[in-house]
Amino acid sequence: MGADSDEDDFVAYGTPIEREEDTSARKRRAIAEAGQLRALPAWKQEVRDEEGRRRFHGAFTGGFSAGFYNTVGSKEGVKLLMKMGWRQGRSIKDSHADSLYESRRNARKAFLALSGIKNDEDQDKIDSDKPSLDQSVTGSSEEMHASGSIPAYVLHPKQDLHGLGYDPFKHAPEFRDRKRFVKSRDRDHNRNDISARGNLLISNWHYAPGFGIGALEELDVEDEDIYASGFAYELTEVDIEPSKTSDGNYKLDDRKRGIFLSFKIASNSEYKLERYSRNALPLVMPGVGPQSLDTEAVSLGLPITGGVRAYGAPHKLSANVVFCRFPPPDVPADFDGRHKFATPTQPAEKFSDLAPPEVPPPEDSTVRLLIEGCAAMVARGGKHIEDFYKEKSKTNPQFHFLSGGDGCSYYTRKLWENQFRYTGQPRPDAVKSKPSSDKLTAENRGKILGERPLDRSTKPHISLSAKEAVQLQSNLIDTFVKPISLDALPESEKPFSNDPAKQARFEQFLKDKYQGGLRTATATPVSTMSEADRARERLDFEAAAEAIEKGKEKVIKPSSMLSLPGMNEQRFVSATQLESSIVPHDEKPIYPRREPFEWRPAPILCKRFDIVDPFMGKGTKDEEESSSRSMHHGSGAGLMEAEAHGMTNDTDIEPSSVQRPVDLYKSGSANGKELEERSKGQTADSPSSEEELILGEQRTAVDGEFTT
Amino acid sequence: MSSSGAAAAAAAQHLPRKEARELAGHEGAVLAVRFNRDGNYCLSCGKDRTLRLWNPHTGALVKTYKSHAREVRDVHSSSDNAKLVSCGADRQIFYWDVSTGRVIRKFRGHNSEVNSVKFNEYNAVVVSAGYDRTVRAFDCRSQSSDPIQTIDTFQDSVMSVILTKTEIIAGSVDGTVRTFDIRMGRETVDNLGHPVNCISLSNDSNCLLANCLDSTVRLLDKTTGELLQEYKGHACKVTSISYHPTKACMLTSSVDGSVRVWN
Repeated sequence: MGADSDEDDFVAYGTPIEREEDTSARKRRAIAEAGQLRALPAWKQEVRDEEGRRRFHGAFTGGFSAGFYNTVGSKEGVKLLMKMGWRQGRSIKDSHADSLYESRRNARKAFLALSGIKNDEDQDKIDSDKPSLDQSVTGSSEEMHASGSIPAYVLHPKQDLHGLGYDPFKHAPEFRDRKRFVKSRDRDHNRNDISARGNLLISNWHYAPGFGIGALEELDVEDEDIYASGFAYELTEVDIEPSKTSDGNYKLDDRKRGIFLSFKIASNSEYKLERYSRNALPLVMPGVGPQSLDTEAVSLGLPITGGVRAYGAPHKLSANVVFCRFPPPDVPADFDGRHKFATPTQPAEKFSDLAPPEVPPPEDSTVRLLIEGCAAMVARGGKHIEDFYKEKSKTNPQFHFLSGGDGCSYYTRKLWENQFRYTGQPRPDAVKSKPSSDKLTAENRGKILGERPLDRSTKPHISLSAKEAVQLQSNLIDTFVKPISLDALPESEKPFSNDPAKQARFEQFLKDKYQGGLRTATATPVSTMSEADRARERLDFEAAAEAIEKGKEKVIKPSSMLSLPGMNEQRFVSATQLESSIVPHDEKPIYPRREPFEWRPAPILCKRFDIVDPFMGKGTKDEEESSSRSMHHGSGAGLMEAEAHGMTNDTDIEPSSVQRPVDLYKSGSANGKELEERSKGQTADSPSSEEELILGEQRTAVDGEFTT
Repeated sequence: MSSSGAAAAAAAQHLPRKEARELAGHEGAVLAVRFNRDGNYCLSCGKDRTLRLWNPHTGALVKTYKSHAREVRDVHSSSDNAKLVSCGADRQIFYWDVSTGRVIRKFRGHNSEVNSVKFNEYNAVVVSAGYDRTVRAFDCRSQSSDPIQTIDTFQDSVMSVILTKTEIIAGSVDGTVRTFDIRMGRETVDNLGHPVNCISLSNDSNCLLANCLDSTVRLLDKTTGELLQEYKGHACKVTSISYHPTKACMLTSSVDGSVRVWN
């Protein structure tokens, strides 16, 4: 390709058009967007260099200029710097506003230093004061400060690790004071008030302690706790040992009396505090003024202990809250912090309950000696010795007394006597008591309960599923192979030998009925028989089965059993490589295994494969109506044939044929008419007209749905 | 017909023992090589996200198809050599026009990597097998890019799929080879017990070769499901298997770097 192909006819001039594959995507985009650059607003424009590469990756938000009118590093810039002086990176343009800001900052700092209030909390206050400050400062707007201002001192040096301006307690005011309190408690208590007093509430609201707000929301009017008692209360934790507390305002008049009363005089309502004590319970006493708290509390006889201090600064209501705190319980001196598990038997009680009766010793002296010795050993050693003896005694008839043979009662008695002698040391009991829990296995428990263990099944595991949807007889014949060594079902037992399909189904029925084994969860096999036929056949099968049973009675059982798997053999020769005998082989190869299932190909898939849809006209699995089936069988077949002749635009028609059963139910008369038309139409028409008919039908079917 | 290897170049082998030519061009591993219907051209799929069309007899690279976003795992050409279908790890199935090298359609529907793709006899249906345990069939004739049928009875990733005139046969890592008979409306599950990597059909279409990850190749009878033969020869995993179209021999390739011809 190119200019050289036809040299005779033409000559090419100019640069050839670039082939698209050769240019990189980047360059192409640059060319395409070249014209658009000016049209965009500044913030949308992308910075690109000559080659079209983007510059300034990342979160570049502007700031092209640096220095006074972009003079950083240039000669003019340096000159300016010398002239103006270094001013903490502020440009000259901002100087006017800046000086105002500066002076405001200074004023704020001074205010803070005087009042000892933290910076951020007083923003609101300060902001309200701002206008007043502004006037004082306007005069100095022309001045330029020579140097950057350094705060004189920082009242509260930053000791936390989060960023500047981040307030961790923004949405949790309760915890702010708590944290502060915890901090301040470690410090000097005398300074408590000073720092505490400086704390202002963010607002005068109260937020219910149990509720929070979402991350994206702010505290608002709605979050106010309307059920709060409406006043600020202060609680401080005071230790039980009063010596540690040193708060000056703390009244401990009754300490001597052992009652720790603590009521602080209500302080100035301007400074309200909120603190919570850990284990306190609110106790509201209405209508009590602050000053009279002491006497009130005493008169009420409240056992206020633990140094709870409460005071109320009446804000909205005149109620006060008293918080009670209770001391830990008295621990007895001999308390040992270890859990004692109850022994399986309590010797003391057991002995009184289960004293076995006095029994004369057995005749045989050797047995008697054995019993006594055994009893002594078991009494001393425990239950496991008895078990050990039991094990040994399985063969020895002399030890039958252990398991209830002769002399058992004498043994029991002896055992009890021995144990009685050793009272005070808990010993596991003898025969009658239940065995200790750690030896109670499933088998033992089963024995106790009197269960019989299940027989382990030794029949061969037939993992085949024999249910098969056989629709064509040919298939059956293919898979029928003469069994190798087995007696086939004798002729007499083949009631339906003339109809192999039916015979197969009969054998299937027998297998299902009489044999166990795994069956796969197959869907109902689609058969060509109608319901009535199937039911009738089933009855036939049952009758035949009974006949066979009667006939087999004379025959020995094993052979009849043999015949059943023999039937299996007939169908699946070596799918499982099962041996012909029932005797189970331990190592039987189970792979490869074959299992058939029903699978519905999509109608269009069938069409593309040029295959007749096996489930055509049957609708979905749920709808199986014999009348519609037969109807559509005829019409559907016509459809398939017509379209198999190579029409290509009928993807829509196929679904409608499947949907037709539904349409039938919806609109009665309209579709009924159409169906008749179709059955008429399909007899002699050419493919195209049939298609038209179908299309028309589709349209009218749709209309029909709308109208009815 | 062809085998796949993880070499950096595609090696076409005409005769079982002699390497006739090396087709170099792929950057990276070559995941699959397929002949077209008549055997005149071969297509290779690479980890470099390209498809290359070669003439193996001359060794020339005819065309490169670049469109996949991830490695290309399988390719199949239509019987008229006009269209290609390729699938890759980017969950997409591309339907190409061979001569222009353009993508005509992108079939979407798989949720995960697509392992294998095939045309049917009439080039009207594309059937694909994916890591998402499904086999999906797409219609080439219509304009839609969604599957017309999804088969999701597999328990694990479906590794390969082959089509006959009336059946879809797929082998999966869950150890089963499932045959979906369209004419009967039946799904026949042959559980082999070992993950099946690749399947192939014998030229008489009676037998199914299933290559399992325990380094054995199993020959199954298609109609009965009976295990006819087991071939153990490779030391390591067998990655691909293919049957000769005319002769009765079979080709397998393995991780151990060898390609074996079996009779």
